[in-house]
This record gives sequence, structure tokens and C-alpha cells, in this order.
Amino acid sequence: MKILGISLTMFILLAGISFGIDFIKGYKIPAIKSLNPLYVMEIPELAIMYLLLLFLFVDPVLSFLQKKRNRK
Amino acid sequence: MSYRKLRKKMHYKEQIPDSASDTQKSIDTSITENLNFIKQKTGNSPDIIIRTLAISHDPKVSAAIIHVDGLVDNPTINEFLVQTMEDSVQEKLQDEDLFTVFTEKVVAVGSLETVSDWDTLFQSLLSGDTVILLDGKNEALIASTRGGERRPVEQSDSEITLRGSKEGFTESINTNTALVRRIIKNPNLWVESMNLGKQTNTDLSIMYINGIVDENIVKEVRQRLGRVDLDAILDSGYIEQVIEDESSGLFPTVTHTERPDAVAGNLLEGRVAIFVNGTPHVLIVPAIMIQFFQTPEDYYVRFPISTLIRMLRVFMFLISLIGPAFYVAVTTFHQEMIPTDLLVIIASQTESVPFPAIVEALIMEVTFEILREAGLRMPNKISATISIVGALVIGQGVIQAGIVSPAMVIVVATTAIASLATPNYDIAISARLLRFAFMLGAAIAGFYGIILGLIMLIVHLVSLRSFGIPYMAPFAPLIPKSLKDSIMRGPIWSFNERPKSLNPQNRVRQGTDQKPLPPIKRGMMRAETKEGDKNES
Amino acid sequence: MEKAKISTSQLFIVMILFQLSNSLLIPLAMRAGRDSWLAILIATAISIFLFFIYRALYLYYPSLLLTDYTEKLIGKVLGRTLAFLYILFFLYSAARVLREFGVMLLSFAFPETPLFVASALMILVVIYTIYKGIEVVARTGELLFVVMLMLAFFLFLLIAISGLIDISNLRPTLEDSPKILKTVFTETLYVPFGEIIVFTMIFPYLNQAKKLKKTAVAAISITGVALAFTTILNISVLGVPLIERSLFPLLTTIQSIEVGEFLERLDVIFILALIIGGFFKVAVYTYCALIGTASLFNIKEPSKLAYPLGITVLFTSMVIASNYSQHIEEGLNAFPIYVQLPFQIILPVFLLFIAFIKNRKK
Repeated sequence: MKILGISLTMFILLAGISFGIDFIKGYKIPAIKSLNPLYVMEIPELAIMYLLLLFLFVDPVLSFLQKKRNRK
Repeated sequence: MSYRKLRKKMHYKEQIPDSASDTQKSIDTSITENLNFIKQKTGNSPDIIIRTLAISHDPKVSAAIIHVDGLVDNPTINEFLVQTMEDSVQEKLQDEDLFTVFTEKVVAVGSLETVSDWDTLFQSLLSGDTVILLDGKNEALIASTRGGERRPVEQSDSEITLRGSKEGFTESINTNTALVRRIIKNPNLWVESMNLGKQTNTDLSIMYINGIVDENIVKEVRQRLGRVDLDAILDSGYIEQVIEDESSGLFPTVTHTERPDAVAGNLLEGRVAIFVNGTPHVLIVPAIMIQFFQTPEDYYVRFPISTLIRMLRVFMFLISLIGPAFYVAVTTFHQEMIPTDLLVIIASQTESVPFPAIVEALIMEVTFEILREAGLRMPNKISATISIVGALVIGQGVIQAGIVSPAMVIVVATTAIASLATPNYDIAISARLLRFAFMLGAAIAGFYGIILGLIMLIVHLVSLRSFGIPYMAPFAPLIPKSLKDSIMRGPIWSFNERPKSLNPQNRVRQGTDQKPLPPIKRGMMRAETKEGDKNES
Repeated sequence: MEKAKISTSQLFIVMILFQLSNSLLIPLAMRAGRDSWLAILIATAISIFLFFIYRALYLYYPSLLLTDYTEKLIGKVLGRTLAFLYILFFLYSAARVLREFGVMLLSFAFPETPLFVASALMILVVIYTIYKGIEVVARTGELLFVVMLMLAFFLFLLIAISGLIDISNLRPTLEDSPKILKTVFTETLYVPFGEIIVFTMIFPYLNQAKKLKKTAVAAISITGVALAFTTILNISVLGVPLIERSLFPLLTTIQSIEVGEFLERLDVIFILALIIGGFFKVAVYTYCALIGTASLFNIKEPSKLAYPLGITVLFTSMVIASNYSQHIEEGLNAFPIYVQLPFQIILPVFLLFIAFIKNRKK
């Protein structure tokens, strides 16, 4: 979970940095527009994306189950 | 748990048979008791031959000779045991110990041991030794009479060379170790034997050259074998799978051979050989990737030729890996790469084919795999039928029916031949499997898929280790000195050092001046006057 | 830090592959026009000085990563914050490279493949690599380097045979020397040369610290010469106006090769070299972020970070800009000045200054 938290924080900060650079460069577009590439996805792409995101939770869940088993 | 610990302690020295409690009691003094016990233990099996004879008439003392039919050398038993015992039947028993008489005078076989526990007795009996029981003695004599029907030393079917020794290993471990000993006549060639497999009690030997091999490798081998707790070991493949570094991987990290000269060569480089009784395949560890592209014959022919052949093999391996994938990628994604004339030909062929290239490729590859498997297991008489059916059905039928394009048949056939040209079956079979993965990658993303697949393969290969040795040595990590015996095969006279990656104790392999020189450079003119000063030993 | 060592030759190869990767691809120092190769050589010379700054820092703490010794130099809170910022910098750079390669692939070979899929495939291979650790990264580099060398040789041979080279495209030289210097300091110095700042995370793995100077200087100089050479090749084949309009000049050069009737449209094969380069740069950046994160947050199994960080890089590469021209524009005008200049030059100089003062007191 710790690892996921760190990664999420990092992603938010990185997105912030890229918006910051957009802003400095004077692209007068709302930040949400920068997420464009994520919005225009087609179904297979979305499927892959969700699959990749799902895999993020495999390891934490497994280690959680392991801990639970060990406690028993 | 305690059983496990116990086993660990015992290591590989001795096995505890399953029914340990039964056999715990020691040999009785009464011969009838003992024989009954043996009969009961072996379930009255008729192939356990028990022969009783009297060895003294006053008092009446009898002896029993027990052996397993077929496992023993019959002439030895008849001539040196039964005959001598019958000859030396004593009228009146002297005071002296019967045992001593027996061991010193009567039994005339090579090796004789005394045992007092049933475990060892049965172990020896079932290995082909003969057990001699004497009335009134709670000990038994074990005479070494191993023999019986065996396959003679023949040429190996799976590793054929045009040049070099024709001898191949057999199923008998003693014959096999002897074959290697005949090549390396050196007291430093050490053999350690052990016994593994709870039910099968299979004999196993590890062989190495003391003073050359890295002690750590031998230790690691011993440790990994000591851990083995299998029920049965029917082939060296069982051992291979439990001592590998990464058993889930596709690539073999242990190599095996049927040729004594290959074993000898590997021992001399500082490797360890593992012999398993009952199989002609001797394991060699550690194994590195490039070894699977080498054959003993490479060293017997001149080096420029073997270098080219080795390169050809690696190339063949690559073709068998990505051949169909390449075709799929080119025809699906990168048609601009094909010269226009060729493209026209291919396009006109594929026009009538209803499937995309990847489906075509999969159909053909799977059909080929089926044919190959069928041909492999088929009795010889039927295999001719297989080849006719294969050639007609695949070669002509599918093309005429317009299911597969002729170009695809050419690609698949080339791939198949390339795959057969890889000298080692283990590595060829991994390419066979990976080929399908590459085909899928090519179907999804063309060259990009193939290249990413190759990078992934490289990453996997460089991360592998075999008994601590990097699998891709000497390329990654790069060991420049060892490169001359890798994909290249340098001249024999330049192999001055053993491979560094194996960390041998004795690095020096040979003199540094082995390069032959024409007589004029050696000063042949003067040498005439100094006979015997040349290279005569 | 993992318990692993890499040899000097491995470091040498990793450095060359890392620096060459996307710099081969993008138009380098194009603001200097036909003198861009000169700008590259000057930047190489300056970057060797830069390397000596990084090396001086490394010599103060030979067994620590950059993200470890910031804490020792400027205190716990500030140092850890700075280390975290460096990790973000690495990840952001990785994301930029990934985006560039994704776009390159799509525009040249796979117009129908979605960007996300191409990037995702690449990042999965990267994840697998960094999961295996630095030793595997270095060894993979060794094998890939051979492929790159062969391709480079083949490429040069083909260009030479096809008679495309027109030296007159290179003349006149030194038209506008201030412009060259301006290009060096606003652009070329940071990409690719300043990027060797990531190697402050890899130097501690070196097994022969003494040979570091020789190895790294050799690697940087060879990279510089190779890049200058490539630029000369591009200019002499395409001419400046064409390069300025091209997104990927090297690929355009390769496309114009035509030997006989058979060898044409070879760019697909040379995409191989570019994929290798791109893969390697993303892998090294992400790996450095990985070990940095592991030591900063005290994570016992660094390999577990591989997947989450890889996914972070993937998504960052998607949101980094809404389109490619914006991405390039930022890469030329904003990223070097606002991000790379401080992280690659100002902060290391500042850290070195503090290290110098601290160690003098002792």
C-alpha cells in the first residue's frame, strides 16, 4: 500500500509539473485539456489501461493475504 | 519435519528405505530364520534365487547363496562362488572361524564385504551383488557380482558426429564413468557417488577434475543434490529439473550429453558431470547459453570452418525463433520494405487466401508441429506414410485449396529446417515455443513487437545464472579472453587459458607456444644437426 | 541500493547507449543551423566539466547515491525534499523520452496503432528489465550495444555507397558564432549531455572506482563525436532546410537511401536502433528513480517498485502534453531552462560547494 501511495503521489506531482510547464509556456488551456490523450481512447486501449491499473493491486493484495495467513 | 532434518543430516550417504521399522532388526544367527525373512520381504519373488548348500558335514553347517536373477554375472557366480564352495566342503569343521575361511580361501570374487544390517544387505542384493549367509552367523558376506544383460557401448543416436569417437554412453553408470576415465587418465579425476530416490535407490555419481574445477561449484552441486528427496529417479531429467536455477524458465541451465568426449572436454574446462544410472544422458553443470550451439566435433575440424558453422547455428536459431514472425510483420505492417516485384508476387498469391497472415502462419506452424510429433513417436514403418501425407497434404493440398499461400509454406518449411539445424534439442525446443509468442507480437505490433520481444528475451537471458555462472557469459558480462571459444572457435593452439567465467583453480591450459610453425622458422636447418631436440618426448 | 556491481566496460556502454538514444532521433542543436555539429562538440567539451562536478560529489560519498547524500549535505528535511524532487525529475525525463518514442513509432511505422498501446508495450519491457536490477540493465546494454554498432556500421556503409553525401551542404561554417554558443547553453548542453546527472545514481555500483574518470570521459567524448558525426551526415544528405522541417532527421536520412533496386525504405530496420535506444534511456531513468525511491522511503524490496513506477511513467507520458507539437515546443523552450538547468547544473554545483565547505571544516 505504501508503494502505491508513493506512486500515486508521484503521479499527481508529475502531472502538476507538466501542467506547470504548460502554464509557463503560456498555453492558455485548462489543465483538464492536458488529459486529452487519456480521454480519446478507444475500447481496446481502455481495456489495456484498466488491465494495467488492475495489475497494480495484485502485489499488495497478495502480500496482504500472505500476512493474514501468517497471522493465523 | 524431523524426518526431513534427519535426511538432511544423512545427506546423500545413505537412504532410509520406506519401511524402516521393519528392517530395523539385525541379521539373525539362524539361517532358516534369515532366509524366511528374505523371502517374506521380497514377497517370494521368483527372480530372487536362493541356493543352499552344505559346507561342512560334521556338524552340519549350511550356507546360502542369494542373488537376483538377471542382475548378476552368472559365470562369476558359478565359477567363483558355487564351484569353490562345493570344492571346499569340509568333512569335519575345524576350530577356526568359518568366516575367515570363507573370506580368505573360498570366495574368489573381486570384492567382498561383511554386513550385519538388512538395509545394506537388500541394497546390495538388488544392485546385483550376491549375498552369502552362513548358519550360525549374524553377519552376511556380500560378493560383488554385478553384471547381467546391458546395452553395449554404441554410437549415440541423438548426437552424431562425422569425426571423433563413436562411443556413446550406455545405461550403466559404471560403464559410463569408465568411458570418461579412459579418456582422462589422471588421478585427479574424482568421482563421488551417492544414492537418491526413496523408492528407486538410483545410483548417481558426480565427476570432476580436482585442481581444475572451482570448489564452490562442486559444493553447490553437492548441496543441491543433497536436497533432492524424490520418490523415483527414472532419468537424469528428474535430477536436472530439481537442481536447475530456474525451473520455470524456458531455457535449459543444465546441459546433457551422450558423448564421453563431450563430458571430458567439459570436465577439463572446469565443469562438473552428473551421471545417473539407467540413462545414457549425462548432465553437465554449469551450462551457459553458447554451449548449446557447440558440438564436440567443432574442436576436431579446423577452426575457420567450425567458426562459420557455429555462426550458422546461431543464425539458424534466430530464424527458427523469428522467421514466421518476420514474415507476418512484413506482410501485415511493413509492405513498403518488400521490393515491388516481390510484393506483386506475394500479393497475387495471398489474394485468394481468406485469412490474415497470422492465422495462416498459425495454421501452418501448428500443422508442422503435429507432423513432427507424429513422425517422432511413430514406428519406422509408418513414418514413410507420414511423410507422404505430410508432403501431399501440407505441401500441395493447402496451397491448391487456397487456404495458405505458397510463400507462407516456404517460410514455415525454412523455419522448420532451421529449427532442426540447432544442434541441441533443449534449446531448439525453447525456440519452438517462443516462436509462437513472437508471431503474436508481430501480429499485434509488427517489427516493434518483435524487437520488444527480443529485448525482453535478452533481458531474461542475461538475468539467468547456472550454478552462479552468468548464462550469457562471455558476451554479457563481456569476457574478451573467452570470446575465442564462444560463437567463434579459435585455433586450438590459442586456447591457453580455461574459461574465466567458470573460475577454475588452474587457469593455465597449455603451453603458450603451441602454434605450429613451418620448419624454416623453427630453424629446421640447424635442427638436423641436433637430433632429439625437437618436440619429442 | 541493491548489492550488485557493474564493471567499467559496462558503465562505458550504458553511458554511451543512454546518451545516444533519443539524441540520435531528434533534431539536435538545429538552431545553430549548419553549424549544429560544432555546437554539439562544444557542448561535449563543457559536459566533461559537468561530469567532473558530479564526480567530485561522488568522491565525497563514494558509496552513496545522489538521493542519499543530499540529506547529509543540506539537512534532513531539505535534503529529503531535494532527493524526492530529483526522483520526480528522473521520472519526468523518462516520461518525456517515452512520449517521444511513442510518437516516432506511430508517425513512421505504425500509423494505426494507438499511442497508449505502443507506450504500454515499451514500458512493460522496461518494467521487466528494472525489476531484474542494475546488473541485468548493464548486461542487456552490452548485448544491445553490439547490435547498435553493427547497425551504425551498416548504415554508414549504405549512405556512403548510395552517394547521398553532399559536403557543400555544410558550407559555410561559423556563420554566426554567438548563435552557436546560445544554442549550446540553452539546449544542447542539457540534452543529452547534462542528462548524465542520472549516473550519480549508478557510479556507486562501479567495481573499480579508480577507472571512473577515464571511462566516463571516454564515453562522453565518443558520444559527442558520434552525435556530431550523425548531424554532419544528416546535414550533408538532407541540407538544413529539410532538417528544420523534419521531426526526426536521421530517419529522413535513412529513408532517402536507395541502393540498387532492392535496398530501399530501410528506416523500418533502423527503427530497431531507435527502439533499443529509447528502451534503454527509459529503463535507466526509471531504474534510477526506483533505487532513489527505495532508499528514500526505506523500501526493503526495491523490485516491487518496478511496476508502480513504470505505470506512473506511462501515465505521465500520456498527460505530459496534449499533442506532440506542444511536447516538442516545451522540450525546446521550457524544459531545459526551467527544469534541466537547475537540476543538472545549478543544484549539483550548489551541493558541491556545500560538500566542499563541510569537508574543509573537518
